[in-house]
Amino acid sequence: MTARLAAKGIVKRFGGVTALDDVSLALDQGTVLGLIGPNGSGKTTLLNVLSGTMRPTSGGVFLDGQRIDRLPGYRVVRAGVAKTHQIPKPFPGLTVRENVLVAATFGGRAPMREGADLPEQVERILRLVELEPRAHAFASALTVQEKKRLEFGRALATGARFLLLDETFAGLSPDEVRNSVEVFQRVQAEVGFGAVVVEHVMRAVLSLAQRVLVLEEGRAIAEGTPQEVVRDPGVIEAYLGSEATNVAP
Amino acid sequence: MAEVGTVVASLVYGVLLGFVFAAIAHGLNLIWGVTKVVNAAHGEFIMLGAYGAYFLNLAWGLDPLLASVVDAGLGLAVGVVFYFAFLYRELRGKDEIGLQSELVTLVATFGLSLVLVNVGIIAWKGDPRGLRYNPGNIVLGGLSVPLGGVYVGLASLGIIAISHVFLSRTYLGNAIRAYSQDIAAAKLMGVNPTSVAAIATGIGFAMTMAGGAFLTVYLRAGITPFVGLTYAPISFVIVVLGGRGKMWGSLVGGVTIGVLLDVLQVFVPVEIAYAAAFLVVIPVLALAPEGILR
Repeated sequence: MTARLAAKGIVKRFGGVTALDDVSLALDQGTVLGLIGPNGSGKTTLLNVLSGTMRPTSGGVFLDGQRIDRLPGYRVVRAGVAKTHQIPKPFPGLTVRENVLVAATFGGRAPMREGADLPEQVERILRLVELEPRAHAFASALTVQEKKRLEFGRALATGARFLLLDETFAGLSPDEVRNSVEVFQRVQAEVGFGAVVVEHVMRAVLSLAQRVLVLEEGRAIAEGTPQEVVRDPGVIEAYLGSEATNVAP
Repeated sequence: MAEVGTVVASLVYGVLLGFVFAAIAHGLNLIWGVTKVVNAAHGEFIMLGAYGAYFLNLAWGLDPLLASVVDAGLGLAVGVVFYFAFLYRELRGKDEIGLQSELVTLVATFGLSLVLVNVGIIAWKGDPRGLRYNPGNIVLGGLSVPLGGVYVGLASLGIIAISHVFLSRTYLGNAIRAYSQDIAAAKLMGVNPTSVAAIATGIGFAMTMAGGAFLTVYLRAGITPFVGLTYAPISFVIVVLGGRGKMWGSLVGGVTIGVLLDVLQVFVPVEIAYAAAFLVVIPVLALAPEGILR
């Protein structure tokens, strides 16, 4: 049975500012939802609400029908929704392997009880994100791209069925983006998680996502396949502007 | 040759005392490094550990080594209670421990320190107490070193090693290290921040109180409610010297101060030796403010 992550009627206010205004979304395990919009449109806030880092002012987040938006952040992870940081924040004084181990140990539903197959699971993650050769290096010694892969690997290691990826490809060179997209697609095919991908690199979103949700000033202004969305006149005006001619396939 | 023997024996004594200092300072360091809280009542838990050893000796004739095990168990429980009573309300839900939280917890624990000293005075009066523990002497280069001091020194080294293995080799230890480096990221890995911080505080207290039991062997002036006033500053100096949050820092800092105190006592009176040890620390910190360990 595939799991389903849904948000219904999310409103988030900071004082008098409405960051999210009645946003809903839903995705099945195994699919990728792209989340795009101009700066300050509420993308990161929406990820924070989905991951339990922030509580919505109203509305709810549901995982397989179970409400998860009132749980503390670490419980949301254990329930099966993990988030990566825009700027990777590995534990600098732990090795790459230990970083993954922490996530594998505590992110699972039964922390510390599944001791036997843990090392195996950690090795598998390291292989998936191509960090095996760096397993014993301290995380602080990694390159930016390696840190991003470690961030991805740690989220995977929690055993989450849904990953929330905040600008995973930002700050990478075009070659590195291409390489990272490949890694992402291969891992997704093997592990089969669902993902919400917030991304500025349009090419990456369009090639990864089956569906795209466009936010503007906290409202969802369009939703559809990547092809539909980039042709939507409202989206072009709000966000893509003249760029649209460059990214449309 | 007797001269050389004396120096060697004195150094051995200094290193052993340094191990005990290190165990005590390690308790402070662990709490400071993990929760970012400076426990101003640290000295009073050394004092309670020492009285624990004294009363266990009085009641059941336990030596400080056995008493330290009981003290450690008590310390673990007291540390967890302390976390929820003094730190939890201030730290819960925070991903960064700011200046505000540091000051609030500093004042709260300082208040606790005053309360504990005065409770100690009321309960046990100010008169010094000593416990009977004399397993004999070992002769080193013409100078006899008390075996009791050797045992507690090695036991101190033992508990530091155990805590190191715990922190670097166990799942819970990994989580404690992860929490100490980045609370927000640890939560995103599914680590429960409250239980990890409470357990780390408990382990810090266990080491502090066990160290207090070991210290009784070296307290030539006896156990008083004021023991903490001398040994808390020494712990702070050791932690700062070795580097906050560095696992081997307390050991290096402890041995440095232990040997320094011991060597200085050859040249100057005891009271001045303590002051002089602190003076020596000042240039070290001016040159290496992050501690002498890289």
